[in-house]
Amino acid sequence: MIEAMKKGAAVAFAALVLIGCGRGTQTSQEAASPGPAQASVTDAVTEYARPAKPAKAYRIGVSIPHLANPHYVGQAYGYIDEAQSLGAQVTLLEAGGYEHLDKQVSQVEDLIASKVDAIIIAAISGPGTVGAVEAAAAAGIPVINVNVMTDSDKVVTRIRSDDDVIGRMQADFMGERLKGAGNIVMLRGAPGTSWAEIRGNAFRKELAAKYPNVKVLGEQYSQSTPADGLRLMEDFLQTFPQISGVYNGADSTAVGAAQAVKGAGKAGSIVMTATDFQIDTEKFIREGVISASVLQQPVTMGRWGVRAAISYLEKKPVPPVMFTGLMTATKENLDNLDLTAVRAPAGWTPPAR
Amino acid sequence: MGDAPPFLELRGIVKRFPGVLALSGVGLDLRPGEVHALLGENGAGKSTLIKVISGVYLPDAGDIHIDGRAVQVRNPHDAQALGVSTIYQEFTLAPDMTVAENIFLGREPLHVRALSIVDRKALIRQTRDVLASLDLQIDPEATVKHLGVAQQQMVEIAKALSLDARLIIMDEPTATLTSHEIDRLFQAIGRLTQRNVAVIYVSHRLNEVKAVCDRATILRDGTFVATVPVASTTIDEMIRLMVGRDLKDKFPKVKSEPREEVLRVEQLTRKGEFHGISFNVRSGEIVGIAGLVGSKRTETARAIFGADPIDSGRIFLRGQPVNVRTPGDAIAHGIALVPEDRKRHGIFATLSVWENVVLSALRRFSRRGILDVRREKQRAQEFVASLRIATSDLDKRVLDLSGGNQQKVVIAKWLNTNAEVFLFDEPTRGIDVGGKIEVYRLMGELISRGAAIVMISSELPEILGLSDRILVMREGRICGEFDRADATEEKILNCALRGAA
Amino acid sequence: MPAVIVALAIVFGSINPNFWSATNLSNVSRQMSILALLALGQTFAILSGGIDLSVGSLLALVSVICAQQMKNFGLVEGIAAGILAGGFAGLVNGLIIARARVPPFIATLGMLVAARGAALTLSGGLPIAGLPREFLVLGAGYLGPFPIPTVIAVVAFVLAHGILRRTRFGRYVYAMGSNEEAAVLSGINVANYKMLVYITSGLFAGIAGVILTSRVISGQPTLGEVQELYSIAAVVIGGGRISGGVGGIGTTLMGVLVLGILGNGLNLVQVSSYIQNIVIGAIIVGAVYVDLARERRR
Repeated sequence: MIEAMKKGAAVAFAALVLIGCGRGTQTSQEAASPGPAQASVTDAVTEYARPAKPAKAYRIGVSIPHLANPHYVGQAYGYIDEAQSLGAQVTLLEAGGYEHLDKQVSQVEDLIASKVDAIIIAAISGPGTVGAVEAAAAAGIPVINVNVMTDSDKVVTRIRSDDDVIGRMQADFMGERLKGAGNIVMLRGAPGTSWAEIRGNAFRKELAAKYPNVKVLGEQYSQSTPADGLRLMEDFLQTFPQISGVYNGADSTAVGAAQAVKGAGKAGSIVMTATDFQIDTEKFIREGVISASVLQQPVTMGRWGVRAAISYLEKKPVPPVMFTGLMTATKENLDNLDLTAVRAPAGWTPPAR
Repeated sequence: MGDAPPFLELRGIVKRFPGVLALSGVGLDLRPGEVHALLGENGAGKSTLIKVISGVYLPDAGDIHIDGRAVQVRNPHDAQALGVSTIYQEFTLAPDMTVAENIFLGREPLHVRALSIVDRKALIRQTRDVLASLDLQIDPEATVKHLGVAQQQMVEIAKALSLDARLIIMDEPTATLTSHEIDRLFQAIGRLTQRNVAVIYVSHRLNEVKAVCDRATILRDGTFVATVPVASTTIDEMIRLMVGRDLKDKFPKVKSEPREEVLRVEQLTRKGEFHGISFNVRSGEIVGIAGLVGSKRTETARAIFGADPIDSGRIFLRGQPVNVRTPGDAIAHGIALVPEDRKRHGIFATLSVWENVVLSALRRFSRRGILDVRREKQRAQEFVASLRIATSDLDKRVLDLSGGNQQKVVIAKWLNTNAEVFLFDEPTRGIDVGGKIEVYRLMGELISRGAAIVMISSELPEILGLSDRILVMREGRICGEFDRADATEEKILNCALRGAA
Repeated sequence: MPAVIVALAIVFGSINPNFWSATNLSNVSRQMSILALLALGQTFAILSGGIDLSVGSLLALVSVICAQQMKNFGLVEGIAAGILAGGFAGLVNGLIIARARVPPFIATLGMLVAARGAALTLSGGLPIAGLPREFLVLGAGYLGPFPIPTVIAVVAFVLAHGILRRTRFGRYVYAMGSNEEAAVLSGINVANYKMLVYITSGLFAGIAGVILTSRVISGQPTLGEVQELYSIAAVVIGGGRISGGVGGIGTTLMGVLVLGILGNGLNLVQVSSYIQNIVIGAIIVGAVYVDLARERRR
């Protein structure tokens, strides 16, 4: 009996693996294409004022991927500070990293169970959070999508940077600096997230359109950590001796990549672009290892998220798509930047959760 | 000896465990340099008493005096400081370290105290001194696991000596020794007594007690029975004191009428182990296999049972050749093996009595894949009754039974498989006198019901008392065969030692 | 142990009465069902004297295969492929452990690494989206008042309990864990039954992986990190002996409940997940210590 089972299972699995392998690349390409509501919307709102403080003290649940870099810490500050001004109470939950999709789903379920008035979510995975978001909607809890999008149209509004613009800005900067010709590699960031997809795709498209002699030698996805950036950049440097530029979808990988570039003695001879502005990114820009970074406004994202929630709960109309602002930081303008919308105030820490 | 004040005195020792009064008012006195036997059936309290002396247990009442001073032995460290060392059946040596490292473990001579750098030369030298005082020819740098059991025991004794022991307690020291090694042990004990080191000798082997001990203290059911001078007390008297009754027939002999042949092995060989083993056993017969440690008797039995492979040779059951390549095959053919080392190979310590008893015959208790627990327990209960296994409750873990009862559980397991051939390997090792008798009785019952028994044993009285025929093995070959009528200890030993019939 | 569970529930319930709400209880049981299924398989492995370190990675592998096959063939085929993939991985574990005689710790450690690598390779490192909406029902739906994953877990528990207590296979698992050498000498075909143990563990991981995939409605190669350790913790906290032969489905259930209630309760009283991990670590050591202390006093 066991012998027959073994044979049967072996054949079945072998067949499945072969089929799976064949389809592998296809499905990953499918996953790479953005979900439904990701395309740039031309009538997106780019300013969003604070509504009047409501009479009721609303309870808002917030679910974000992690608090391991200043981007999300800034966002957290946005949520909490804005809620204070609007008399609302925020429950901030983080899943401990982009690998913990199932934890985020559980956290959203817990928020639904504790009957919060609204949920704000920065999704770890576009498709992966659909179930949780739709469960919230079914329970009558409005969902505001911030920063990283869920592939569901049951959200009240989507608040993010115009990722398309971020990609194009990096492409334009890179193209100019490389004087129209060069070899670059891409560290795209967390797989399956809307920002990694849109920014990277926009970058490539812009390059192809305006700087055809700038070639992309290779690209990799990874978790947003310096360790991953370091490792991937070191591998790239080994594989491609003639790298002249590096694109970073997020900045944690840029920090790691910068270390790799410094370690290889190539600081200054490689043009590196990034997104966001953690302390080390700022340092490396000062040192000239990172050439430019496109700064998002996570604090603004947080504030608008809370404003949208309160507005909706107060039965006011909420624009369906909102883009928060962007600016570029380079060595030249570092000291003249207004960072109130980019970072939490110095010394602020998120509540222990 | 003589009128010297007692080295050790115990008075009124009481020790209770939940539900059991292990010792009630036991006393003992020990003179310096005396070899003192501690006798009693299993459960009499011997091991509890020596654990009290060596600081493993704290007595609930009573006191201990050493050199006339009252002392508290709160833990083994105290005992060691007072000069008490214990050598248990399971040695406490580190098998992968050398003899020298073991003897001075924790007390190595150091070059520089602060840096804990061991002074190897001094270590070896001091080890040699200790070994020499016992007249031992063991290499201080030998790795312990490569030494034979007897030598390891000597290392334990040397270690105790190096701790300036004034009392060495030996628990069943000869269980795994050949008679040659036992002599050497007695010589070592002689040297100890010359140095005024006392020995408490715990053993079931009364003829050894007679050979080497000065006095014996007998315990029964946790109480002190008597202290007797060994020279003037017969073995029968000692047994009577231990058991409280006269044991006329140590070996209840059932009238065995061997009938037709059940098992025959021809030219069983495995390279490096045994060679050309041929013998047969008939229904209703007990064939004993004697031999010294290392004669590969256990290996032969395991091979017949299919636990180990054979290179060549054939096995016949009731005249038909059979292929026994796994224990499963053996069981299917009605062969059972009661292994030498119960704990490691025979019982499932963490499982209950009934689970153990039914384990080899589960097919018979299952209907369409589901086990009928009620029937299993019923059957187990039948065996517990018929084998008189002393347990109040079937669900008790086998670990909690005494050695003799554990052995009965193992036998019950095999009875459940309707085995016809029983291979017993040291069936009564580590079992007290009363328990031994039970096992012998069981074996008698088995053969009266037509089973065939092959019994490997290192206890010559046992072999002589029970076997219809005796085979002697030496270094993997059969060197002699005797009928019960003309077998004697000398003939067997002769054969075992020198290979001549 | 049951007393501890009740005590925990009461404490958390009094700090935050939401604990007792139907939605919370149903959430907790749904979320725990994954760990419960893994712990079931782990129980078999640990009872038999071994261990299965690969179950966490198998979640990822199963998720990827399930999602891919679901897109290629259909809902049912995807589910079947996922479960079979788990079973097959278990078979490989079993072969390495039983035939090649590699210690279970090492063999399943190798599978832990290899399975995750396989998941990442097969998926290209990217999640596999586009699964049919109906699939969500498995992970998010209800059967009456009970979440479907909870029902599946309960059925699995009952089944596993039956197997362990009432079949020869189950009895042999205990025997092997209690004394493998004695099991061989008692005529048990240890090699075959060991393989069956790891196939069982793999199949449970397969079911868990399919449910998890349904909850995130996508194939995710990053699922299940560290889950194998929690499954071991559940078995041990409940009273199972890591060396084998002692424990059972009942004790594992206790362990799963403790972990589940702790996790949920600490969430509800707003304790950070980092502190939660410290608490769980302390409980694992504490539970085993209490168990051993009881043993030593015998």
